Amino acid sequence: MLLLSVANAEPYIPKDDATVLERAPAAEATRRLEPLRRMLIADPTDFASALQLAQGYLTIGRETADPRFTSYAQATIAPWLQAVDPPAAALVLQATVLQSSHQFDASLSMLDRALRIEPGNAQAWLTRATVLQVQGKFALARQSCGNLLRTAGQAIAISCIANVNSLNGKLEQSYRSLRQLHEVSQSSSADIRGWMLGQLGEMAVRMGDPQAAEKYFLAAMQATPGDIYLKAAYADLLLAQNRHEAVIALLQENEQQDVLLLRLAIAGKRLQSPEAKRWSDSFEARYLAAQRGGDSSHLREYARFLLDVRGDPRKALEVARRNWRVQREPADVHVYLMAATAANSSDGAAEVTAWIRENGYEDRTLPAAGKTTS
Amino acid sequence: MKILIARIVLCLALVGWSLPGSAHKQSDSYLSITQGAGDVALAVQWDIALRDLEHAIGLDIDANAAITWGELKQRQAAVVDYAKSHLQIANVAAEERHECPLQFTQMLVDDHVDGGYAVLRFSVDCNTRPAQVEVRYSLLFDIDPNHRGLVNIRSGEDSHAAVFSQSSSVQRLSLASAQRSSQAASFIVEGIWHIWQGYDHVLFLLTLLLPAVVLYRERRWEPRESLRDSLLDVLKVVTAFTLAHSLTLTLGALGWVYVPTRLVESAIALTVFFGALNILRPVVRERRWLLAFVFGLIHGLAFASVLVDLGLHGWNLLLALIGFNGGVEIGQLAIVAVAVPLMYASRSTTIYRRVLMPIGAVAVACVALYWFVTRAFT
Repeated sequence: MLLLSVANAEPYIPKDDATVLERAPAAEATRRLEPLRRMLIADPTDFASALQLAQGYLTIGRETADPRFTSYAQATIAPWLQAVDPPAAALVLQATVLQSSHQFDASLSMLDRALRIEPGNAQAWLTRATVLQVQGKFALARQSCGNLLRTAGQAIAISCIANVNSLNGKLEQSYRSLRQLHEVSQSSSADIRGWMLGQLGEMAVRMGDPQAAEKYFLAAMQATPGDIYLKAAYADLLLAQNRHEAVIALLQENEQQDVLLLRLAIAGKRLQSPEAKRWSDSFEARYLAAQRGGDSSHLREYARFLLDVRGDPRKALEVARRNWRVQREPADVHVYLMAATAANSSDGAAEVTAWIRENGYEDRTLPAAGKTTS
Repeated sequence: MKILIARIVLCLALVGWSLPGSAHKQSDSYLSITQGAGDVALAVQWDIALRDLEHAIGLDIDANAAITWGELKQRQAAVVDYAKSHLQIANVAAEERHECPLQFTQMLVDDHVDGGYAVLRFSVDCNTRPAQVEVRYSLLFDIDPNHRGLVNIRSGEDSHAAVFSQSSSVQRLSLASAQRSSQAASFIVEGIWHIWQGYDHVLFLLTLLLPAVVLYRERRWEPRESLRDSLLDVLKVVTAFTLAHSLTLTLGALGWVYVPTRLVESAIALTVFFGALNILRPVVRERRWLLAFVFGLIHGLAFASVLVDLGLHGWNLLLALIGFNGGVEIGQLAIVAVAVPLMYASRSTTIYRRVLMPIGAVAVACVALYWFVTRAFT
C-alpha cells in the first residue's frame, strides 16, 4: 500500500492521474468547520467562533490521532492567550493541548490560572483531575473530582472519583459503584455513556473478567465509534486472549493511526502474517521520524513495540522506565512490569512494584512481581 | 445550563479514560539545499506533506477524502505560489544581503513514513556562488505553531542539518569550506577544555612531572643540579604520554578499538593512584616515560569516547580527530608551561620535597582511590 511504504528512494511522477497519493480522513469533518473558519477570518476578534472552531479541531484530532489538528486548535486561540487577561475557556483549551503533548505540569498551571479566573469552570476541574491521575497524584486528583459535584453534577463527579479510586486501592468498590451509576443514567448522552462504558471495560480488565470487559468495550464502541483509544483498549483485550485474527479484522483500516498500527504489528508478528514486517517497519519509522525533533511523547507505545514486536526486553525496560517519569496509567504500569519480567531484571521493576504497593494499585493481569497481596 | 453540558460532553470526549497521548508525528517539511561542485545556482528540493497542503490551501477538489495526482496537478500553481511565499533565500556576504529568487522547475511526489508529500524543485540563483545563505522559513506557522522545517544543506561532501520552527524562523547557514575551518577550530577548543576539565588527566600528568625536577637518592628526594636534565625528563614524559594517547585516541575514534567507558574510567583512576604511589615509594624512577606511555594508552581511550559520541564519519571525523588531538596537546603544553617553571624554581625548598610532594601525593592517591571505587562499583 502506497501510504505505508517506507520512504521511496526517489521522488517520482505517478503514471496515472487517478493515483491516490494521500487519504484525508478528516476532510469531511474539516469541511463542516469551514463556516466557522470563515466567520473568524471576517471578524478575527470573535472569540465564540474561535473557541468553537478550536474545539472542533480538537475533536477531529482525537478521532484521527493526527496531532496537526491539536496544533490548529492551538493556533486558533493563540491571539487570546497573548492578552493580559485571557478568557478562562482559552486557558482550558490550551491546557488540553499541552496535556496531549504530555506537558503535564504546564497544563496544570494553565488550569490553575483558568480556575482563579473562573472557579466554577467544570471542564477545568475535570481536565485537572485527569492530568493529576495520569501523573499518579491520586489525592489531588480526587480533590479536583470533588469540585465537580457543584460545577458539573453528581454523575460526572462520581465517575471521576471512581476512576481515581479504581487505581488507588479500591478497584472492586469503584467498579461496583460505576456499574450502578451507569445503570441509573441510561438516558445520558452518547459521549458520556461511551466514556463510562470504556471505564467499566478497563476496570473489568483489571478485575480479571475479560467477558465483562468485552461486553463493555463493544457497547462503548457503539456509543462512540470514532474513539481510537477505545479501539486500542479492545484490541489489547483481544491480544491478551490470543485472538490475533480478530485484532487484524478490527484494525485493518486503521494503519494511519500509530496507536492502532502498533496493535496490528503485534498481532501480525504473532500470526506470522505476510503484512507483519510492513506494519512493524512503518511503526518504527514513524516513531523515529517523530523522535528526531525531540518529540518524546510516545515512549509508552515504543516500549511496548520493543517488547512485543522486536523482542528486546532490555531496551524496552529502559524506555518504559523513562516513560514512567512522565505518566503512570495502567498501560504504563503494565509495560514496565512486563519488560522487567521479560528482561529477568528483578530490581528493574523495584520502582514500579514499590509504587504499586504504596498506592494499593490492583491489576490481576500483571505478572507475579506486580501482584499485591490484598 | 445547556452550554455547561455541551462543554462537559466535549471534555469527556477529550480526556476519556485514557489520555490521548499524541502518538503520532507532528507536521514536518523536508527542505534540502544543495550546492553542486562548480554550480552557481543552488538546487532546492522541498517535500511538503499533502495533508498540510490540504489544510492550508485545499487539494481535495472533489471532496471524496482522497487526494489524487490529478487533483495535485490541477492545484500545482496554488501549491507553488503558497510554497514560494513562505521561503526566502538570500546570499549574505560581509553584511551585504542579496535576495535570490526561487525558480520553480518541477513537481513530483514521494511517500514518507507518515504519508504522501508533494516534492517541489526549485533552482535558486544568487548570481554568484554563495558561501553563506540566510533562509527565512515561514511555512504553516500561522496555522500550525508546532510545524517544523527540517533542512539539510549540502555543499560537496559536507552536509549539515538545521531545524526551523516558529521561534527560529530565520537562520544563516554556511556552505563551502569556510565552515570546515571553523569546525576544526571548534574541535581544537573542545580538546583544550577536555584536558583542562578532566582533573584526572591533569593529576596524572602532575604525578609524573613533580619528580622531574628532583632525584630519588638514599630514600629521599634531592633537587636536580641542572635545568637541562629536568627539562629532558619532562620532555620524555610528555612525549611518551602524547604518543600513547594519540595512538589510542585515533584507534578508538575510528572504532577499531573499543573498551567500555566504565572500564576505561576506572582504569584511569588507577593510573592516577599508581602515579601518586610512585612519588611516595618510587618504583619506576628514570623510566617514568615508560609509565607515561603505558598509562597514556588508557587516557587516549577516554579522549576517544568524546569523539565516538559525536557519531562522525569520513572527512568530518578526520578533521575532528586532528582538531581535537591538537587541542589536547595545546591544553597539556599549557599545563606543563605553567607547572614546570614553578616546580623548578621551588625544587630546593623543603616545602617542595618534604611537604608538597609527600602530602600532595597522599592526597592525590586518596582522591584517585575514591574515583576508582565510585567508577568501578556504582
